[in-house]
Amino acid sequence: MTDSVESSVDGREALLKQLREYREKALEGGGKDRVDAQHAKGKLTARERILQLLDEGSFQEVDAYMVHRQTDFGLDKSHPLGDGVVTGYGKINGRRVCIYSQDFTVLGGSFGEVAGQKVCKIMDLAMQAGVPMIGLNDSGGARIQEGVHSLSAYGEVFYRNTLASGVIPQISVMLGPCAGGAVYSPALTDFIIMTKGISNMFITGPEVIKTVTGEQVDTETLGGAMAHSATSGVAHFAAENEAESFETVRRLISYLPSNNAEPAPAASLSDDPWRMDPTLDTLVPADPSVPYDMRMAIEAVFDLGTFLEVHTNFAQNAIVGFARLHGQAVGVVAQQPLVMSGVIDIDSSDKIARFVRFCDAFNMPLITFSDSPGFMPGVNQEHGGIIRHGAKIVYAYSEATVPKLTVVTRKGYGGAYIVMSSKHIHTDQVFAWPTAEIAVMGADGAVNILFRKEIAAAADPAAERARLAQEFRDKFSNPYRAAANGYVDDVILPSETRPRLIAALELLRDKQAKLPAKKHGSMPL
Amino acid sequence: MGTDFSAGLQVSLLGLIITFVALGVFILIILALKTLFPAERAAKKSAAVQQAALVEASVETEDDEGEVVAVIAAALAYARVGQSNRSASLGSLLQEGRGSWWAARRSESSEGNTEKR
Repeated sequence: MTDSVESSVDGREALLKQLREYREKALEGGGKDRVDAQHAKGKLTARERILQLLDEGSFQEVDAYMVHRQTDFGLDKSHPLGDGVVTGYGKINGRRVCIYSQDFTVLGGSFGEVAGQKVCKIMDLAMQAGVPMIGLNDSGGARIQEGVHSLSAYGEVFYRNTLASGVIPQISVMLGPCAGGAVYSPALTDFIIMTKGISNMFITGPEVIKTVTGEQVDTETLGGAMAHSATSGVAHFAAENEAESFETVRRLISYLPSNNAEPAPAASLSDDPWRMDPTLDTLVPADPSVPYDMRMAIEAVFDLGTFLEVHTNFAQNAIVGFARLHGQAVGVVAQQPLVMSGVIDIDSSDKIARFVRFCDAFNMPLITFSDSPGFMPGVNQEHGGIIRHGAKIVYAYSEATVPKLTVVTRKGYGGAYIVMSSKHIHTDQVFAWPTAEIAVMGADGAVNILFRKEIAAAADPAAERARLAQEFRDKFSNPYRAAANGYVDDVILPSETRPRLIAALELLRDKQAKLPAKKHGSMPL
Repeated sequence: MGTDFSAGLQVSLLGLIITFVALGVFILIILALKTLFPAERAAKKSAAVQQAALVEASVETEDDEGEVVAVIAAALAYARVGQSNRSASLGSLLQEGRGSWWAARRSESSEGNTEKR
């Protein structure tokens, strides 16, 4: 009897010891040398990254002991625990998230069948639990030795990225290379944060480009953080280093609901709802051709210090981002008169439309500051499809059922005015500043068309044009004609904007609008 | 020489006499005025004028202070009126989260989605 108890205790000890050994082995990643090499490149390991991003002590790992099943090309000699990706769940600022982190120290972070299964499992968990999914990407790409199994793994992840779109927020943090088809997983997520100097994304690398097109380009210029955050618009944020990337994720998460059935989270109050900034009353110059910084209006109207700009470096003639209005998280869309007079071009159309759709999917009210002089003219724009791209804005705003509020600050000309969340596409409340000019076009352009013959026949055409333009301005270059027809709900002092928006947002807190039943629309993509 | 000297002396003497006679006339006029308007009344009057000036000055000072007070009071009143127009509950519902209307419609739409599936 005593012997059996002792052997039972010994057996249990052995089991516990074995588990501890497995755990230690799993934590080793690709081994000390590879971990040192990773550190030498200034990069953290997969686990270090997770621990830095999540709340302390909150990470719970899943599938640490999974190993690949392949035997070709020498894979049978190495079966690293976890198969090059760490998956699990934890908390950010006390809110639950699911996460995976590719481990570059294990087979170069290459993505195979089992790694794909792990990522798919954690994505399924995230969707069932209704929590955001965060991917930390640092991978050499598909595991060539696994052949089609690796491609299948990617396909399964892309499929889940698509299913999860609009259900849970998905965030990709790029912390290493991401090339070929692998880029489509982050591309399908809601936000991409690239880290300067260590991350890059491209479909075909510099060598292939040189062979095929003869163009010579280095990796950073081709697919670095700035290339994608400023030129292509693939990346939403460009962080200086890994720590800043993680801080961006934490801040971003603070604005987002965990899923599409929850309202956006409200924060504790940090600002007076009645705060009226008198500088707003003088922000818009009297001369319509003089630009001003719309960012100053945004900073003055929303809770102080809460504006988080998205796509800061891309299509800077438009501004999109998250902010808080009396603690409530909202999406902010604006035109920036400082850049190209705030005209709408192809890139800004895509930027605005995508952001509006994200906010609508996740129940985030939309607040638009419209100073809309028109669409960008030019052959490149027309042949590039400004018609199709611009249509995305009106489509996105029209199908959005979240509370929609608009402030027309100055120009509201033609189609560009209509698409920027005007009353005509069923925006809930439209306010205009006294400086607003809502018309089919600017006064000078209008008189040139309307009175071409009269101007030509006049003794002094320039004086006649100026007189007619002034007459047009007196009649149309103000918000009162639109207000008289109910297309503007109220003309307000710029300094009153904050309390007026808060009151409107409060009214529309529980707004529910139904769209006609359909499988899905056919957006002009 | 002697004649010239005596003539000059006579002219000087005459000038002096005329001057002093004129001064005497002035003194007589002043005395007459003093007789007509005794010194007490003048003093009283002077005192009254001074008093009036003082009163006037103090009234002016009081008026200035009053104006300042009035301006401050008006500003405070304006501010109070403004504050009273400012509902303390502005935005309070945003802090309470979504209401039952939102929840009811959400559950309706999710049921609809489930049925579709």
